[in-house]
Amino acid sequence: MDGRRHEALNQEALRDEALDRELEAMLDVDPSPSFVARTRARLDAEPIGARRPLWMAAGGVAALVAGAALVWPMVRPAVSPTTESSSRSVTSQAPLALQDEVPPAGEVVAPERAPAVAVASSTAASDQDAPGDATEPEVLIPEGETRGFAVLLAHLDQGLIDGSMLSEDWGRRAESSRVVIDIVPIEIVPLTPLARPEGERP
Amino acid sequence: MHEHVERLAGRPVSADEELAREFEARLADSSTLAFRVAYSVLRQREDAEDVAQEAFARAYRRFLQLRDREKFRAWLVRMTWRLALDRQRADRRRAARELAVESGPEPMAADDPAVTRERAERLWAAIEALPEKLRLTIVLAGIEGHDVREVAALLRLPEGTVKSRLFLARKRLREELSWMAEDTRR
Repeated sequence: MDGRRHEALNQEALRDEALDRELEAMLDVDPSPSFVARTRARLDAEPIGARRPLWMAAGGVAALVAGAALVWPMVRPAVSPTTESSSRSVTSQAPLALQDEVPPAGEVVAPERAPAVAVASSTAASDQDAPGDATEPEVLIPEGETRGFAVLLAHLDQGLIDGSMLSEDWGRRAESSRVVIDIVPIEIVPLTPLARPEGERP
Repeated sequence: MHEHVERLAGRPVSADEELAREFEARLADSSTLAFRVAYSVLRQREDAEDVAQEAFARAYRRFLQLRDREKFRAWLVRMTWRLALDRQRADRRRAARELAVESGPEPMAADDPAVTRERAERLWAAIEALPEKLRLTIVLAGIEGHDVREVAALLRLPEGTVKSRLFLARKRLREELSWMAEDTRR
């Protein structure tokens, strides 16, 4: 190889355009004319991959299981019978029971009961906007109080309690029959000072 | 077999037939690309055709996920490149086992001048010495006159990354060729 050839090679090596041109020329090779036909013939024997592979199905199942495992702890407290939810269920049924079961006494109790029902319905309406808890009304009355109230109504219904004492003027009669207690005012007298220091024996 | 059937040109065409038709279009569209990618590694026409055919066969088996043209070509390039490298390594191992002298690259056309042939051989050697990422990038840029945008689409990379890889690849190739020329002069 002579010097001039080497020099030419060196100079050529430093030029990007020439490099790209050379590379393109080197890669400008076409497959044989039968290449596509041979490929086609080979593929004719195989079914086209129209179905999703098994690993995709397995992946889908795994994703479902993982999703369920993630969602379950969030959903479970809402459906499990905890104290709060049981009080909710009693509370949610209580206003309906009041309206359905005791119409006559309901007239009497209405002034006390109405605000609670009104609040319940308004909060229930506002709860419908809250995501995920649209059917559960908010807890307004403690469980024991609700139960007592329901028992009272049931007893009234069964005649175990005299309903007349709950008549309209019962409150006024209770007011008039109030016993007035005479309270004697207490006089406060300051203590006399001790003769000797505290703790010293006489 | 898929039951989904649609009317096309008055004849019922099954989903499989539709897929096969699409694949035929991809085959015609990308056969040269796959062959050249394989050839850039193997430099043997028959070997390159074998590898490209294998890549198409694999694409055919999972064509449902590769229906998009860009996705198909990008996947095909990666698969062909990987298969070609595997084939090259296997060939070299076999050659080493048999203690045979590795045959050189396929000779260029007989009417090429000696300088061109020698330089092409050097350039091949320099390309082979590049890191794989730079190598694939410069090869794709040299195939079918792909510009930066097309290479970026094939490699699923940002254009900036392709530009910097091309810059680095060219720089290294220049250096490599210079050293080779120096070695030859001595």
